Amino acid sequence: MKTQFKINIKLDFWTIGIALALSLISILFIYSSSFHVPLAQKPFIEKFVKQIIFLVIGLIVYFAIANINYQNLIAKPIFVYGLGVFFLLLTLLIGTKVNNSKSWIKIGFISLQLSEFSKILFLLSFSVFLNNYHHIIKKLSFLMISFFLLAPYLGLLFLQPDIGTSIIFLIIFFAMLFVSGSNALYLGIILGTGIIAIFIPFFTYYFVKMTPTESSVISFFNNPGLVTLLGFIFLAASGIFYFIHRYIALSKKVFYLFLILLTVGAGFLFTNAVKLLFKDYHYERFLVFLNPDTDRYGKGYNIQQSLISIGSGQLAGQGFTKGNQNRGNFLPSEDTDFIISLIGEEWGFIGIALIIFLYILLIYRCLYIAYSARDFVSSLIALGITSMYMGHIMINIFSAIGFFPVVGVPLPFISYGGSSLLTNYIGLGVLFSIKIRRFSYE
Amino acid sequence: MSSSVNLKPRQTTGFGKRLSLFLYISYFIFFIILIRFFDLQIRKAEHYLLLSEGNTEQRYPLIPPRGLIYDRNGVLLAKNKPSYHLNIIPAYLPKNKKDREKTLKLVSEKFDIPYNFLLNKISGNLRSYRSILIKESIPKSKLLFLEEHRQDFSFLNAIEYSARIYSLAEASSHLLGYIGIISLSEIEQYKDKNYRGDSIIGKNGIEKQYDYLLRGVEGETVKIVNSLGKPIRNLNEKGIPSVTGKNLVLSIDSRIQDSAYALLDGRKGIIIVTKPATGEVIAFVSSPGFDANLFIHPDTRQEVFSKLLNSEEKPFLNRIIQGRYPTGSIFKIVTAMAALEDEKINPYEKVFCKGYFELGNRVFKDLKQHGLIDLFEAIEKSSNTFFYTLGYKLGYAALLEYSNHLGLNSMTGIDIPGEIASFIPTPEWKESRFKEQWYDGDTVNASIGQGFINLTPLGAHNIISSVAAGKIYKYRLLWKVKNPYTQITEENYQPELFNSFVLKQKTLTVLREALKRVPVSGTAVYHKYLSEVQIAGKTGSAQNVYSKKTHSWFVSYGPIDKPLEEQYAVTVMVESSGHGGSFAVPISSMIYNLLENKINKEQALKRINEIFRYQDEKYENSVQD
Repeated sequence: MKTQFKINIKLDFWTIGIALALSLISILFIYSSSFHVPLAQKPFIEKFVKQIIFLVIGLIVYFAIANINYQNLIAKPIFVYGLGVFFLLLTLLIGTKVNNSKSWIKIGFISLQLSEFSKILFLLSFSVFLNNYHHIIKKLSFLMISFFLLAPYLGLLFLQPDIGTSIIFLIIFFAMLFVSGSNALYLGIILGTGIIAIFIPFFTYYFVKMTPTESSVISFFNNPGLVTLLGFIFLAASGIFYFIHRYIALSKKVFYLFLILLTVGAGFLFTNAVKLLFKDYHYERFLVFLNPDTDRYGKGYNIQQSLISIGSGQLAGQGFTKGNQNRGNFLPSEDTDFIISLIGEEWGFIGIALIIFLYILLIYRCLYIAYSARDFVSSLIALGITSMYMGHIMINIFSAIGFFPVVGVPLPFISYGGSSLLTNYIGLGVLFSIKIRRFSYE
Repeated sequence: MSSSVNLKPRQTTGFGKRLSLFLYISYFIFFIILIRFFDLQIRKAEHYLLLSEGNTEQRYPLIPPRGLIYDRNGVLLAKNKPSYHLNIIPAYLPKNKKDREKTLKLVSEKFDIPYNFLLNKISGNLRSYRSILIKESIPKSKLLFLEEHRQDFSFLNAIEYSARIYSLAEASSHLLGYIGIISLSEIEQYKDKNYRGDSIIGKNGIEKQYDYLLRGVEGETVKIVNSLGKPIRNLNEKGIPSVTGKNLVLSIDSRIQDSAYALLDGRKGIIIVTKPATGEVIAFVSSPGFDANLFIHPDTRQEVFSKLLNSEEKPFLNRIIQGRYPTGSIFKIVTAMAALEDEKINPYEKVFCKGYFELGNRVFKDLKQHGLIDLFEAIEKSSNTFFYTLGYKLGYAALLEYSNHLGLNSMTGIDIPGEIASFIPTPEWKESRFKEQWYDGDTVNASIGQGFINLTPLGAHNIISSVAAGKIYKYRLLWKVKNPYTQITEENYQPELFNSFVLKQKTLTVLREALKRVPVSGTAVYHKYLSEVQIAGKTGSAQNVYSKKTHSWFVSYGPIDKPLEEQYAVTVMVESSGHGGSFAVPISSMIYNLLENKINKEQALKRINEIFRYQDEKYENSVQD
């Protein structure tokens, strides 16, 4: 036991060091964000105090998990998978509606976002699946089955609806599929189809709202019957090209044409289904994302304020708690979606660079653990966790800088939120467990 | 499920490559992020810094108190009453829906505001720090209640504003007017005068005429606010103090104004009292009036307004300067004046009045046959026949000339907005209007003030003013402008002549003597029984198209045993009431009694009521007029 402790401290410095550094920054800025909140609005227990409490719990969990052989976690993958689904189901049943979606369960003054934990549960069980069926990983059928495994999670998430977490799930899913060796081409087509299927309704909405006269192109896309028809035509055409490529003349060009037609055709077909998934305000948000001026005081307000906060930070920032925007409480969700903007305002580019640097180190470290893990399944788990972090970082920061619509994804270790923080530390714990058991085979 | 096969990671195809790809993609994403931050924070920093500061400054207007209006003796006619609007700040309401509803129900109950109204007002604004108006003019008791329970109602605040109180209410309604929020057309009209969209402006009367003095100068306070409107800090060094509006001192005597209005008792009519020596207006009464004090209560405002607008009594009409009436026999003064000034008549020469005047095949009737009378008697007894003859002899041109001298074809220029000019017909006018030439018959009618002649009461007042003083001074209500802080008089107006017309002394002697006899032994003999004050004047009973009863006029001046500086000119007209002698005269008598402090308001009212009751009963019997 004692020797193990020594090893713990020695080997674990990087990940836990970075995490602690980020957590410290987190507490500082959560404190700053609530600095200017009027007294009447301050919660009973201050947010940064709550964050500290969760940090402590997180660290305890971290050490607890690190001492568990992660093998135990994946011994019963079906159970783990089921638990993940159960958490999402539970949220739907007894969750409270916050901002249009049922993502939280309230117990007393604690709010739990169980979908956070579902991520880990899913990636653990999915790693096992990928590992066990690795021999057929190149097959299309394998991909299909993988999708079916993901479907309950995505479906339940869409019912809440929690688009942000769904995106994270997709990122983890694709990252794990890709790195584990599935057919890149198949993945590409599926991604392409998905992207087309999703973009059509959103861009149609955008153009309908933004152009004064409805062009024929847009009215075409608005007509589901026509789109479906064209989809079938494309698919048929792609079939012809495939036939040509396969049985008549082998040609790269023909093959690419086949691929493109296939992707577009499938996309057109799926787009009708996709339309049903999204609600009006999703389209609105996309519109506002592309053109923030359309709703300057409503939904466009957030991104405007975020950019202002970031930009006015300049090189060295305006000083801790002294940000102009902070003082005026102009920036909404200062401690969650836009905490990076707050840091940008008060610590400037230097502060941002510091955090990015820390994240780069973290991701590198995690990937190193994935690379040097003792077996395939642990690599996948490590990769899954890494892609979880990376997904969050990317989506959160992209939203804050205007590169992506705001979907409410927390920044790992930094955003305020107990469930998110716990999940991140659990991830670290699993990573650490993987790392230290690299050579031991107990 | 089969047990995990312990594959080594590197065994799987391309695992290392794919992992590296993942890493490079991650690097790339971080790179994009850094570039973007660099762009925002270094390259575009100025731009965003500007925006972040633009978020912050907010200017609030500081509205100064409106200037006060005093009468000649320092009695307040219009003053300001601080009133309070009740506002709510939604961001301070409880976050929990149940608690919030409970709180709003409490507010609704304690402050008499409909619950649904409250819900409506705050919906969609739950996060706002901006005050939202929920009730105007809360009574003092509610204000005290709010103060006592401050901590329970921390989301409410009361904003002070000034409402106007008119001490004489209806009696001064046409004199002072009222104030209200500026309308769109007014904003357009006064574009260069710095009114804001919610500025208060005088709508009529003195409030409008001298709005530029009364409103003062708005100041400004600058605060730093957040985007939801919540003020964070004051920037006092950037503020501009406001300047209180000037105080006005009018020539009006509030006691006379008040009593005069009461004497009319809501009947349609006017009372004008001026000082012929200076043009000071002592009383400016148009009846019926309206109570502008009712306009400040937002609950009653709309109702009151519509009722007034639709009333057939036309209470908004300022009859003194906006009503035109046939004057009847009052005009005989002008005819006599024209004859005397042009020396076309010997006032002592007797003329036989047979009770009618023949012109061609037209017969102009008189009410009575007076026999042989001279000018003095003609005026005293108001003989139509005499004046028909005189007018015919003079010709219309003369009448027109002296009407113009007396300013009867133009406005008097009194400092109240909305005045219209009196109307004296000309042959050209008749030609274009009726496509008929001017007949002698028209001249004959005009000489006794019938026909097309329509004067505003203030115009008619010129006639008597000219006799009293020999010339006409411009009527003016505002005589002093005072600085509200120091009480120093900044502006002191002097009497100004209306025009250069001066009556010959010979004319004046005759006219004054004639008019003196009217209340002694003539058509206004009633005055003798009602007042000891010596006056001179002329009655008029104008036939009009609206009623069988004539308009009752009496123009007069006095006390004639006092020097001019101490004399008053009084014009009283009561619409469709009867003979001049029956209504206008008794009212005038009471006015003189009040002016000379012989009685008080209550006594005057009592006396008038007795007289009018008697008069209404005795309408059928009439004294020639």
